[in-house]
Amino acid sequence: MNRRELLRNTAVLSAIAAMGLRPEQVLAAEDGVLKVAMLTDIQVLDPGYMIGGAETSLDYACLPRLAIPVKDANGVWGWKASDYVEKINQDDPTHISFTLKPGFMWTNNQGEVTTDDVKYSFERMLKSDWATRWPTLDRVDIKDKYSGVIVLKTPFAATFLMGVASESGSIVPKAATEKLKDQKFTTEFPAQCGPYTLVEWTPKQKVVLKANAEFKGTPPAFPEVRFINIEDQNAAALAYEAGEVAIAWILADTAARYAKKMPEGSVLSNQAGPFYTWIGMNTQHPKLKDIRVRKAIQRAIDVKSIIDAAYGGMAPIAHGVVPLGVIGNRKQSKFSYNPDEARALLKEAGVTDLELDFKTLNESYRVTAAQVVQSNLQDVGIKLNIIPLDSGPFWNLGLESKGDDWKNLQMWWMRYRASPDPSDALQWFIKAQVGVWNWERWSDAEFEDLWTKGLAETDQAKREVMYQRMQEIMEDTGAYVWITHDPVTYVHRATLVPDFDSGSEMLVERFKKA
Amino acid sequence: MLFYAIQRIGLSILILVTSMVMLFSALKFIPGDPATIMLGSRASAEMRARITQELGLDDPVIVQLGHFFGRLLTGDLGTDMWSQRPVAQMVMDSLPYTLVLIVVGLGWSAMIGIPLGCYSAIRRNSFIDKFTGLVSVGTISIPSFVVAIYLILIFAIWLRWLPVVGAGEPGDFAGQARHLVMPGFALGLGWVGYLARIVRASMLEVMGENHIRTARAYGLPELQIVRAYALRIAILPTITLLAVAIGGLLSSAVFVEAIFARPGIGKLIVDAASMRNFPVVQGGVLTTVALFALTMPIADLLVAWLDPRVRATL
Repeated sequence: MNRRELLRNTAVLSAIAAMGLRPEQVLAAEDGVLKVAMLTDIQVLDPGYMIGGAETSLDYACLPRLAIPVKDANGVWGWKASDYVEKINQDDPTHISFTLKPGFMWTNNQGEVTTDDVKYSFERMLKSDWATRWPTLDRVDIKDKYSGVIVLKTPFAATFLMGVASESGSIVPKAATEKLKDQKFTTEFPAQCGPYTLVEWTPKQKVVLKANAEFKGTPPAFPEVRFINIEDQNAAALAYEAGEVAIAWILADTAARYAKKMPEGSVLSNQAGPFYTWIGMNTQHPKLKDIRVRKAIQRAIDVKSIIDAAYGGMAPIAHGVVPLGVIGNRKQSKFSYNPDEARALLKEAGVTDLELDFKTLNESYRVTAAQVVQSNLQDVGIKLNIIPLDSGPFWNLGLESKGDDWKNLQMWWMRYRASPDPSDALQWFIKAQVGVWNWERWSDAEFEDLWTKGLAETDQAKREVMYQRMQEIMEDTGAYVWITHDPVTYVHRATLVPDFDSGSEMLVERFKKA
Repeated sequence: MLFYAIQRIGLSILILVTSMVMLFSALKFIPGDPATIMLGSRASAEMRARITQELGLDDPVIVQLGHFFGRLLTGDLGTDMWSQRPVAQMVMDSLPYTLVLIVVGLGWSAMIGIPLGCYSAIRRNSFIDKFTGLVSVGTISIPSFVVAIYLILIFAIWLRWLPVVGAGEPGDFAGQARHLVMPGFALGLGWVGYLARIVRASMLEVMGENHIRTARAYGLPELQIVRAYALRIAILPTITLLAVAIGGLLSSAVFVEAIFARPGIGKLIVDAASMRNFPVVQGGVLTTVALFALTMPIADLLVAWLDPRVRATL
């Protein structure tokens, strides 16, 4: 910059300040640009190897798919045909036929989206990091350029919700992807065909999407969307309040503050979220081997107080692991907060002076929750030592492959996330997961049987009963205190109507103007 | 002077190698594998094994170090384990943002701290001197992230004068400058006190020297004496302090970068460390250590060049 430019810029800034104009108003000249807060920068856009977060949003916005996730009137997740298909139909439990609409063109001169791309995209998932999303996929048969059949080895009820209509059902350009090293891509799509195209990525700063003029489906409401990388949720809330983004995922305590005094022209949008949080107990640990002790702990913990203290009262109480809006979600537990009953159970078990270790990730809300648990258990005569841990040692606690920590594991605070099918939430508690992710270390023959049958069952009413029963079995082990399905709360301008997938990621191509 | 320069640079290289040996040893003992931390229960045993193998985490530290320094000779800092981007490119993308932030932060601290220190020295033991002392201690003890939050509340949320997020668009100097005002101030404020204190002490020493007395005897104006004869000498110790400040600011910058959502090398390293993205941690730490290790000899050489008294002792 030369002296003249320095003088000119200084003069412009002074004029702006002198006129009382706010920088935000100057920026507002960029009409039609929607700015959204992005919590994590993109790292892998390839649906086979992605990590999540904004990568999910970008795959939905920039890649074609056969079906999209939708919620029904009861708030339960289902699917419908996408803009890219003339029809898609489950012909029988193991065959899904589809016909693509002609004329959807890939960018980078990669031609039209065809059945060849669909076959390549779905079959490559079997060798990918997300193969579990397609557990029974056998192959995709090509009928012609636009028609094909997805063939499953065995029926799998969640083929749509976990596969076809999810981010794992994104279709990639076969010819362009095959040319890449290891046939994988990271931060650059080999070609795109979505309502938006990714036109710019500035690492750790922003991702810019522009409406795809060639797109034959429903055009998006905003000509440009900028994902602004703000990795701290408190900073994202400040950026929202400063008017720099139109929508941001905020923390529960911020949501509670906004619920009392909402920023002007703003709305809170509570998504059920894909999470499930519970307090786990190691059923094989000598101090917790007696089921009466575990059941006493279940009854000694006041979950409502935890929700109030750690989530600002903004989270629902859970009664199982299957998230809200998913088949099998439980509405009631068989136990509730009852310290007298807890004391009686401890007395019956002949346990006195019990001292337990409680391990949790070192995050403020989790430690707050642990302190409530500590106080609750003290009321019934149990001393609890809270041990906050960094993510490294925490995630190794129950893994037998990572040492002997699992032998000393007693109680812990845990949160998992799930796809919108109950099987995804329950898969970690089968016998084969003991020593892996079933840290409670129990198994049950009926549970195993229901697990196998549930995967193949396609009658949703029957699945509802099966998965409810599986959670009841889990609860009866005494190893679980259900806490919450952590809601995902977004604050956004009242002029914006956002939309989300089952994982509460933003689907910007479905955003509308109010 | 040449021998002194070689000695200082040699020491910097030794610091660099030692710190990398310490870093590799520390990384070896950090629990947690990258796949599990990033993907939780979704991380399969195969994924964990694959990543461990790709990163060579099963190799002895000495082998890992050998590979690292071997690659370093060709300018290769490794590859980000997730995005597969070259670490050198990631570091070079982030480093300028941090350097600019540090320069602006130091600029703020020098702009406020040096006049404060001078004024305190001239008005020694006055109310202003005592008040300045209080302010100095205050600025030293307030963490930069607290300053950052208050700045955002006042200038971004209430007044809406300044932007809060990002670093501005490339090529837009005015925008980038606006994005630097608050982060730079938040970062630099902590060093105002240090600078003020050291300038004050140094000025007091210089103001008592013979040449100042002589200047006064000649009837020169006080302002001229301070500016032309006292400050020029008293400012020398601040050069060393500013070099030390760069190290301090590199670590404080992490918080400021997080709050203002600015890209930067501090944030790059912290994010990578929390995800056990070892190649990025190694490349980032190497760069910051190199930066700091080079700053100190440069400052020493600068002082020696500027101050004949120091030069005479070499």
